[in-house]
Amino acid sequence: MVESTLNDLRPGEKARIVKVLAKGTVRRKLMDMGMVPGSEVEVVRTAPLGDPIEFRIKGYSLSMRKQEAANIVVETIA
Amino acid sequence: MADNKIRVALTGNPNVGKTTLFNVITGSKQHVGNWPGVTVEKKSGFKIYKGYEIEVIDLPGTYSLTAYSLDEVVARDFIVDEKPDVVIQIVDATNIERNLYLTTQLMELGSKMIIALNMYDLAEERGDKLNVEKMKEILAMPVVCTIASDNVGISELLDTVISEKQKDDHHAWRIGYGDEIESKILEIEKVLSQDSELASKYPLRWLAVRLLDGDENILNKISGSIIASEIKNILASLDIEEYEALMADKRYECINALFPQMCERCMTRMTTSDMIDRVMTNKYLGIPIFLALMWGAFELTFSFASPFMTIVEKIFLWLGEMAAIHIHPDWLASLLGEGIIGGVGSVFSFIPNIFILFFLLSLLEDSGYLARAAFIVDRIMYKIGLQGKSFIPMLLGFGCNVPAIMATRSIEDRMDRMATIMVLPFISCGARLPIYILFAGTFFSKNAGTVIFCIYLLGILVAVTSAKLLRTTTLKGHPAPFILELPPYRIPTIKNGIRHMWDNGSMYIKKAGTIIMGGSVVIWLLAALPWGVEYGSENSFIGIIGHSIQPLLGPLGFDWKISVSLLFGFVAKEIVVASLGVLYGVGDDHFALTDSLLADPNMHSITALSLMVFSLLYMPCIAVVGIIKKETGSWKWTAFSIAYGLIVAWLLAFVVFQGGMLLI
Amino acid sequence: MEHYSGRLKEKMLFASFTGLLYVLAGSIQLFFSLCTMMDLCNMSYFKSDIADLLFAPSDLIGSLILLLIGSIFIYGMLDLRNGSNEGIAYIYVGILISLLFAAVYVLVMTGNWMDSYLLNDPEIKGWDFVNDLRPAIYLGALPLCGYLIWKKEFGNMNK
Ligand SMILES: Nc1nc2c(ncn2[C@@H]2O[C@H](COP(=O)(O)OP(=O)(O)O)[C@@H](O)[C@H]2O)c(=O)[nH]1
Ligand SMILES: [Mg+2]
Repeated sequence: MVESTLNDLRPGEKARIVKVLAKGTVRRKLMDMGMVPGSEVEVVRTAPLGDPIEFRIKGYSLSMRKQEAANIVVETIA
Repeated sequence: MADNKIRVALTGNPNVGKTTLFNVITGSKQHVGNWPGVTVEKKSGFKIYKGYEIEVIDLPGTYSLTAYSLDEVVARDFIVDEKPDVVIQIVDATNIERNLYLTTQLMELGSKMIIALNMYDLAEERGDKLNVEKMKEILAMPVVCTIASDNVGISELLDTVISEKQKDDHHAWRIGYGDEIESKILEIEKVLSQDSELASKYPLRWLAVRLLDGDENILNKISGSIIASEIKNILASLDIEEYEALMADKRYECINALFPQMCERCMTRMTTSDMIDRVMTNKYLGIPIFLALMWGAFELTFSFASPFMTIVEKIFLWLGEMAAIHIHPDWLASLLGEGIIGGVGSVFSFIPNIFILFFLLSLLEDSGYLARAAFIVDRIMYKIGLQGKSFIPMLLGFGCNVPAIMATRSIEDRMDRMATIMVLPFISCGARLPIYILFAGTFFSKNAGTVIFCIYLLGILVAVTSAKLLRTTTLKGHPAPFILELPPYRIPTIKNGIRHMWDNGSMYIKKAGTIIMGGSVVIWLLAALPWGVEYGSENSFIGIIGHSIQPLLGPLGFDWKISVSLLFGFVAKEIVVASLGVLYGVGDDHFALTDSLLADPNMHSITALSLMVFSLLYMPCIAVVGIIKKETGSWKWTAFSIAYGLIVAWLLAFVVFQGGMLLI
Repeated sequence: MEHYSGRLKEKMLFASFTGLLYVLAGSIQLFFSLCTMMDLCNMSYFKSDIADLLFAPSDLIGSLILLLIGSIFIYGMLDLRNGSNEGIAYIYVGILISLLFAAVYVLVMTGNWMDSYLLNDPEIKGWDFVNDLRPAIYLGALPLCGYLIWKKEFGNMNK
């Protein structure tokens, strides 16, 4: 198991959230949207211009910029 | 009396079918307004059902009640302060897990709750096996399956509302946060209970939970209380950020544990939506498809609307003629015919554009593409200092800046929102189109379309540059984070589209109509006074004003007539055309105006171009100024918007005119 | 997704044929509109009734849209040929978008027709069905067939 941040994953890769480093409202928003430690995330694709990224979490699609994704520490799973 | 009245609040995540359900329940008996003090739209409506008068309030769609945005504060305050009899949470049956997060928070508010398990059809179609009975049992609240778009399950829902209202007690299930947090909750609760006023107003456990969650909004609420300092001391001794995460964790943990019992077989396979997205957000095709779709919407808004505009114009022309024939004395006929009917006509001639635009926008939004549009363009919007969500208001801006500026409410961050509002007036709204149509049509007949398209492009360009400029000066800083749900693609319904179109169209008439009409009357008065002067001649007030500002506009190639009409374009941009009609003495007659313009030695294609550029940029109309003031809450920003627009417009028109003259 | 493969050949054929037609029409129209716009070449030399009738010579954006639709189909075809079933999605969306634009053009045409016939607008007195006929409209017949044939299959994609 390798730890990295969410923005480093490639489309198709799956990971489990370890920690959310963001602070303040960003953190709260991420939690509200299901980005809590333990959740499984899959990278679906990046936008045509390379940013933002689309993730699948808890059965729905969520998109965020790479800089936000960089605040989420994950461990990759198969 | 109070017994047969029930107040019901609808809440839920965005895109779960709240508005659809609201419309199905209330039909046409609804009222759209604003929540007091804030600029969030409030929709309420009535339904008479089995002898009960049910008042339904559509709360803003939110993912949680943590007061991250204005919408969330509004939704939450309504439930805790106004205490509706029943709260219905609409849950998307295809996305129960995330929807339940809101449920866990709503439950803490202590109101009677019902879950409307909406989009049941989609869940079934997907092959999900939902155990509704189990859900009722676990959540300890009624669960009703509905298909809002097909009017299924509505009466059952209303029956449940009535029976819930009659119940004395309500559910008791709540999330347990674990020993450590629970002890803190108890501690805070105990302190809070010393303030009996607070205790009678809010559920104390909820207050305690919110405080531990680091909710500043709630801190403000209790700041007047005697126990405020004691609470602050307790909170200061804790690592609130840690608690916040722990509690969110607990909520999701709880949901994770219960969810498999409610949904025995929930699908997460590749769906049609995924397949469509693969193409729509394709690396190479995504952007061209996006541009093509936008162009198609644009083409429809403007080309398809044209016959309807002609019909409206003809009707008002006929009315004006009738006034001229049947009304005496002549001045009254003129006031009615040219001033008032002409003014109303210019308001209405414009309705087809606005209607079609909002219809198409509704289709785009309901289909789910609008969120993809934000996803696709965010990179660019971010580069210019805005964000993907600014795109939607910008797009609306092409119809009318007023609803566009109102739509910036979806942008949570204040700086992002300000920047978007400030650059929006450069987006060429539909009201400016009559000016382009007149001048491009008259002076560039063959290439009118291309010229108009370029003017629109120029508006975008100026908006983009301004955004960048603002972001490096007054509104320094990066755009706020972009965390956006991409809802699944759905087939949009015509019904929704029509309703959306009607709501916004009538709002336009109300908001802009009165001002435009007033402006038309003022223009008529200024053109007809002082008494006895020839209508709209150089000796009228209007001529005098025009002459006095003409030197300022001379370098742009404008004579006094143009100056006058531009002056009145402050009132509303489409009046420019109406007033030119008056000034050339041809009234509403489009073709006579074209001929007069062509015959005018002061007017040629360069002047026309310069004029179009100037009208594009020079300043938002009064309705927009009003809405800017309202949405920014600041006269300083409003004044800035006006002044900045005037300067940019003058400079660019100057370049166009002088440059054009050199080239000729 | 297995049941798609049986009719994969059919779809590839359809996609390449439709795609090529759109690209062809788009290129020709692009050429004519560029000529008209920039006066690069003597139009009368090329000008034939057929080109006029089929390609509405001064519709630059229209030609780009044709090219776009064509590329979506071809993209899908190439994907299918590489053995990736995702190609189906491209064909599906290609059909959707081409029908969408056919509808847009038909609506615009209706608008113009109403303008001239219902209101006797002297400005566009000489409105003729042919003036507004765009390649996107008549080429739309092809994706329409595709849609009708595979309607069920597309509808079932989320199962
Ligand atoms: N299939 C299906 N679609 C629905 C249902 N309810 C709403 N919709 C559609 O879902 C979309 C979003 O609905 P809307 O009412 O705007 O959601 P809101 O954002 O919560 O107000 C619309 O296109 C509706 O037509 C339902 O029960 N079944
Ligand atoms: Mg809604």
